[in-house]
Amino acid sequence: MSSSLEVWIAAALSLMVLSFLWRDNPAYKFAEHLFVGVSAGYWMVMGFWSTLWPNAVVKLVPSAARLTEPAGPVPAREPLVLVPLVLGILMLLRLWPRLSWLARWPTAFAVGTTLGYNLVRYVRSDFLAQIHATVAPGLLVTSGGAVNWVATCNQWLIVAGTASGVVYFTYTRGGAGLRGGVARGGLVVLMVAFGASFAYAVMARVAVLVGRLQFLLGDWLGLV
Amino acid sequence: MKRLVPRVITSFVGILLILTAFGARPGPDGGGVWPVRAFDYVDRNFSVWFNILAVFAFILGGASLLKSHVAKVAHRRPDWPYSAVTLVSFVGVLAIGMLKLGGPPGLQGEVTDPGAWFQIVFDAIYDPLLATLYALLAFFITSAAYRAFRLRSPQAAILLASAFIVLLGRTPLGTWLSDPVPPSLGFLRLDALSVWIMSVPNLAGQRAVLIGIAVGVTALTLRILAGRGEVDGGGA
Amino acid sequence: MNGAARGDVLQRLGRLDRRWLYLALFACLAATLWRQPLFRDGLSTFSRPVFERIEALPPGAPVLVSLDYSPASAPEVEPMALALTRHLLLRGARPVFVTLYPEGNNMLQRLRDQAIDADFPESREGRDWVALGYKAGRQMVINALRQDLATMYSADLRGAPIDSLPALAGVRRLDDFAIILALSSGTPGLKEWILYGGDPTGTPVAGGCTGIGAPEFLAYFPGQLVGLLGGLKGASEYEAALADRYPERAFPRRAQLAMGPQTVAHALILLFLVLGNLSYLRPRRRSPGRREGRTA
Repeated sequence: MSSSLEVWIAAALSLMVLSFLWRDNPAYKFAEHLFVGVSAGYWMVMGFWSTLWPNAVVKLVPSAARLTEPAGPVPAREPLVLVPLVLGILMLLRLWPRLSWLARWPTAFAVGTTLGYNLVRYVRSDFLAQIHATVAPGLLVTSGGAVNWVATCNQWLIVAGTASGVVYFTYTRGGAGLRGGVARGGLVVLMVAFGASFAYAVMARVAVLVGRLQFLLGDWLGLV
Repeated sequence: MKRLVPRVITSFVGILLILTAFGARPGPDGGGVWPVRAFDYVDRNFSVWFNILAVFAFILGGASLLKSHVAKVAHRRPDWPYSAVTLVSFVGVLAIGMLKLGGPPGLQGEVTDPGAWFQIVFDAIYDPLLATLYALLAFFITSAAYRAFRLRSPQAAILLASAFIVLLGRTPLGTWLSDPVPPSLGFLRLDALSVWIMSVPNLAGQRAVLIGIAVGVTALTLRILAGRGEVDGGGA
Repeated sequence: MNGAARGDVLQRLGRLDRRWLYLALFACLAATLWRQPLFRDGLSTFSRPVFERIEALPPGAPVLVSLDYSPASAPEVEPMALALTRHLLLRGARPVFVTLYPEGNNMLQRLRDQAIDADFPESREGRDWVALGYKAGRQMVINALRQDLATMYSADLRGAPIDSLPALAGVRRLDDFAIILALSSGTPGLKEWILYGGDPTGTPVAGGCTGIGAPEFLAYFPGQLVGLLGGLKGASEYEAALADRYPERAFPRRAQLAMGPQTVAHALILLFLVLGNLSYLRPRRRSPGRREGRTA
């Protein structure tokens, strides 16, 4: 059994969270609210020291670098860093109802930046590249020059599956005739994919629980 | 003014960044004609500005949390003692982290250095709470497998069959169960079937999803950049 | 057992309290953890290219390793990060660690303790590897690194200016890296490294992810994604391959040891799936006002 106070606190908090499996209770609520407070503080501290301080404060007031790195070099001043700082302060105005409309400006900048980059990236990587990867030669051959029938059939299944999946998304309501048939085929492909996703989700959740039990039964109790 | 300015900012920034994707790169010395340099400047700096702005989103989140929980404690609303726990933990972690208590002297070093109180808070409180909250999901997914995953339709049967094969095929149990399968029928082994499902039908399904999302992102982006979408983030 | 008795058992199964299921899962996992079975494992179609690509790296090759995970997914992704770091240092490559998750710096601290200080005490920070750490901004950080590392990182986590670090000699931006290895548990993660890092610069991207992300990422394999370690199984495969290739180095096998409980849990969940459906499909009297399957 561990003799570390840290491990005991961690174990006690883990058990408080696990107590939710029995039913909602004050111990779980305590742990939940503690987590909210700690995580909000954690994110702010990490954001401040990792990004705001070196990439904004120090670039605006280079001598501030002496506080964190007394022996390090003093960087050059970059006055344009005032732009994101002003936008950031405008964002905080959301907390004051009378001025909260000004918070839309930094949000607009963030949305514009995200959209501008996303459009190009998604069209290139998730649209064109995916189509390019799907449309391969009709007959795949081995290094000896013979037709690789298994690989060829798989390739055609991928082409048909992707196309019918897209048809299903485009015509969700299905319908009769060829279009309805193709869309139904697309649904089958998607169901197989979602089944695989479910299996992988089970794997992921179990792995996290195994990790937690390794901590409780091993690091804390020393049983495994 | 309240609605027009954000729309103009969004469209201007978005279109500018789309154009930068088609701009040439400046030479190694940063030279080139002015549009090349201008696009390069935008591409180089807007991401950095966005990253600085992201920290203000953290600060806004923290301040908003403070505001709502202080009000809850001040007005003695139901469950206010739990709000007090949130407030004390938030302010405590903030003080420990911002003052870099423990670790190297003053404000030197990293908050994650060994010995820093912030690192101790992470190991003793943040890590176990976050990990256990996610670990609960294993129990819920087990319960869902038993109570909600029903063979209600042929589609559900296909989904279940695919999940069954992949769940078995990705563990040593699948290998063990497949041992009696003769080598000539190797493709029927559970591990081989699992790989096939992932490489063929799953691949096709995921590609269809990706292509569908990309089309959706493109349509939504063009709509917002054309000034026909709403940019929220502030009051009326 | 006659039909009525069988129907009664199935009905009871349908009404089983969820807490019995939880207890069964807990008991099975605890028992398997106690026995600690170690299964043999080998590289799969998806993980083999990652291993081979790292094996083929020339000594001194700079490799960007992004630790984009938190304690919530560490049991799955951390073993991959440990195994990949060990492999990179064995090959003499220069790992450069960054992270898009605020928790990444703490994860990096653990990686430093468990993989670098414990197994490669002779390696020196700044010369053989670099920790640049976390920056806020999600995928926009990748975008900034594509242009110039210095726009976001002026110094490493120890405060040393990046232009003074031998491990970063000749590395100015993303396309100077031999490969990007992203260990990812969600967004931002592997997808963002492909969309914002690999595809625009042509730098090869490989990595690992939680089980939940794996099916989606396979759509990028092998064109946009060199290889993928999917979930705990991927980590176990990599650990096994590393042990086979370097038998003289006895590294801990965390993921391989976790595969035992994982296997038992899968079997139990499959059993629950069958039992749940048996109770659902049982022959029943018609009761128009009641919805089946919601009694448990």
